Amino acid sequence: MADQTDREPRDADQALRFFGRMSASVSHELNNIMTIILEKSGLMTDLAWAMENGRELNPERVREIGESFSRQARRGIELLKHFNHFAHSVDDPAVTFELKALVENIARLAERFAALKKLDMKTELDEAGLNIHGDPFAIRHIIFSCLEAAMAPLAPGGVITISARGAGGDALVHISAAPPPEPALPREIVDSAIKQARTQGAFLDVTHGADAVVMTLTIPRGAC
Amino acid sequence: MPELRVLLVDDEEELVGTLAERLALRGYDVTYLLDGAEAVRRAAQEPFDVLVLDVMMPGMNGLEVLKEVKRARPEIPVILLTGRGSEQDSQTGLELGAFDYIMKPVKIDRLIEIMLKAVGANG
Repeated sequence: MADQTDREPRDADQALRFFGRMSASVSHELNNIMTIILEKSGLMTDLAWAMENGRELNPERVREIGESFSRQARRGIELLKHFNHFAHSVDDPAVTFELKALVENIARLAERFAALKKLDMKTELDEAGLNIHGDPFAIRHIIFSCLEAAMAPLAPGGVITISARGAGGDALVHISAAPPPEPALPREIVDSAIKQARTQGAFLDVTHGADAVVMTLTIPRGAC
Repeated sequence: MPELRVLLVDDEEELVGTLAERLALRGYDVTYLLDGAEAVRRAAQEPFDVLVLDVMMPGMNGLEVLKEVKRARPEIPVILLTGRGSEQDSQTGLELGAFDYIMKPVKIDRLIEIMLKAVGANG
């Protein structure tokens, strides 16, 4: 069982950089969402002008535009909910939290990074009720570092899979990169993630299989 | 209304599709694409008057597309679409030969103004 007694304070600079990167990514995506909504509203105005000048408008077109407003607004609301959870994860470094929700949260926020590299990201999180007592921000940071290490060497079309399960007094988070990337996972990012894991009394190891490279993060469940 | 053949490139389909429709309503001949590599191929083969190109795209990003387009068709003016906080990208784009850049969200009249200037400057 991993040892939860050796937790250290966060590295403030690294933590701030991580928070900044996630904030910038979310704000970029939100800007895109708002831009789409503004363009659609501009289009409505243009179509109204066109109708005033004799052009016919198919009601189906109006319905499509309405659905687009709704789709983008829902996308924005969902993203903001995830960002809110992320932002609140710094509130308290010693709380009980549910691992599945945490992994879903950081996976959603990491989606844009994967999409920019044309990678497919999958989550396999069947086990609910897996509670951990620890630092939810630090755990998010470690998982994101692992995701970043997995993404870096993968070519477009590659697949990142993240899963989590309980194992006695520990929780295991697996992050795999398939096909096995060439070159190997970036040493600097992996070493940093290993070091961060240790500050939380957790362990990170990397195994190289024929089909994928897998990083396994073993987190002590603490007083749960 | 000058007849302009415009190529729009952005990976956000709802955005680029809407922008294309709004420009088409104003009489422009617009093609839109979602992928940078495809944009390089089409720009090399087809007689577009101006390219409007998002910077942040998966795979080949806007600056990479700009470089390739300038290599194949140096005469086509390119306008970059950038997000807030991407000022460095805008500067790099200008150094690579972009005519100008415009920040999202786009004001369509401003985009048209820049496109006409770009084509006018091209002669």
